[in-house]
Amino acid sequence: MKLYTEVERAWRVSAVGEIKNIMGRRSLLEYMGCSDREFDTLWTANPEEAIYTQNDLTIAGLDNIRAAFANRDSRLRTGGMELHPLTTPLIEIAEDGKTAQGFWYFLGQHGEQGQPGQWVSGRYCVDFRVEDGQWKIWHLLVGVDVAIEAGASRAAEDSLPCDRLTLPLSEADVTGVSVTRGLYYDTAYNFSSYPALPIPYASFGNGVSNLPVVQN
Amino acid sequence: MKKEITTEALLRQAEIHCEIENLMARHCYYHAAGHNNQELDEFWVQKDEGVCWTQGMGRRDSLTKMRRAYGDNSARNCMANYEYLCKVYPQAKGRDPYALMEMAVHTLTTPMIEVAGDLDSAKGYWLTPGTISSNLNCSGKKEGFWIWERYAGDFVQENGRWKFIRLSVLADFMSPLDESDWSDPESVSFPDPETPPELTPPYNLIPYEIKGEFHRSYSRTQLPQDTPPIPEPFQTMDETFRY
Repeated sequence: MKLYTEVERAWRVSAVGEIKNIMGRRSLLEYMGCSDREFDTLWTANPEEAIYTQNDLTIAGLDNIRAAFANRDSRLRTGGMELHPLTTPLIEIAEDGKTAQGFWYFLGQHGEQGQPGQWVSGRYCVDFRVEDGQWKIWHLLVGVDVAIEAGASRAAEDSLPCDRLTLPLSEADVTGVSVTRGLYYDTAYNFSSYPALPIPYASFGNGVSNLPVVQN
Repeated sequence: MKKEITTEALLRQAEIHCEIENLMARHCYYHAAGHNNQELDEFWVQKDEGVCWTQGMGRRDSLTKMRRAYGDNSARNCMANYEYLCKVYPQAKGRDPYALMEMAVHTLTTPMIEVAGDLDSAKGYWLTPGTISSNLNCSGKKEGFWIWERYAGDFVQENGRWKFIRLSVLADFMSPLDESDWSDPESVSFPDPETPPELTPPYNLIPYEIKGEFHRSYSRTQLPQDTPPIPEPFQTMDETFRY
């Protein structure tokens, strides 16, 4: 295990708080329907390197991601609610201090005008990196475990195949946006071991990443 | 690496971050037990100036006003409830009358804490999914609600300890635990201080000293609510907004 100087230790402890703040801010901006502010302030300044992934698709490039979420915010402008309170943080700062990885569970709701409310739960898996002294979101995967209409009978649903969940982005949101389809996160067999839980690591590029990999 | 900050200051910021998380958690546990006056004594600055408590429909702008409503009035309601309960359930005698009132569980998630550059103050924001329930009621029936709110607070030091100076508690929705759809407008059931619900025993609510619409709860027919503002990095409390 690497030994750190006192200055490095202070910085690493501080980094965990900053990363929690970034993800908290992201969650709130999504809740408020202000994704444009999220992309302006919280994501990498190298737009071509940003990657967003959810269960059924992945989007490369910040401009594409921004376009999809602008559609989503517009669709949910009235009556919308994308509420993902973050719990269970698991954050690893790379030994070299240039990147970090984090996992969170979320337990929340999805609301939409004219639709019953939904209970939604899942996980965030995120790669961060330091740019100009600030932590930024680099790759983000939202894996939805459960999305069910409030009050609906879970037992009335067949076990397999797993629901093809399309939250947070719907088909309408990604119309006209360059996306890659695939099964990137799947809970048909309950707990998903992908992406892997963050573990202590020396530097990015060791094969530990939340970059999407198509499931077999 | 952070620029223009000493290692000592960096460590102190991290320590304060932890202290604020603990302080907020203590508020939650005390409130769930109904020990509001104890919370005001131990965790709030002991002065009126600058103190503020805000909810969706109103605000109390001094510790004295908070104590009158959140503290003493809540305590009176608890004691009245206790007296009634003991008539129905003699076995409740001797129990903590404040805890018997209800169990308001507010969990803390999505923490966002900004410590001032001068290390003299801090701002925090949380999403708080929770439940308000009671297993012992004069009606002889249990009751319970989902309640999802936002917490936003300003914190300062007093005699070397971090304390609340302002707190916003802004509800997004509340519905019975057995309501099938939390988003159903018919299920929303926030008590209105102007027209308190008829309960047994009589339940007294003190109207807000400052009335206003500081936050709207969720509705299927309104825009997403962006109140209160999200904390941003700041140097001193004087140069930023106040909750």
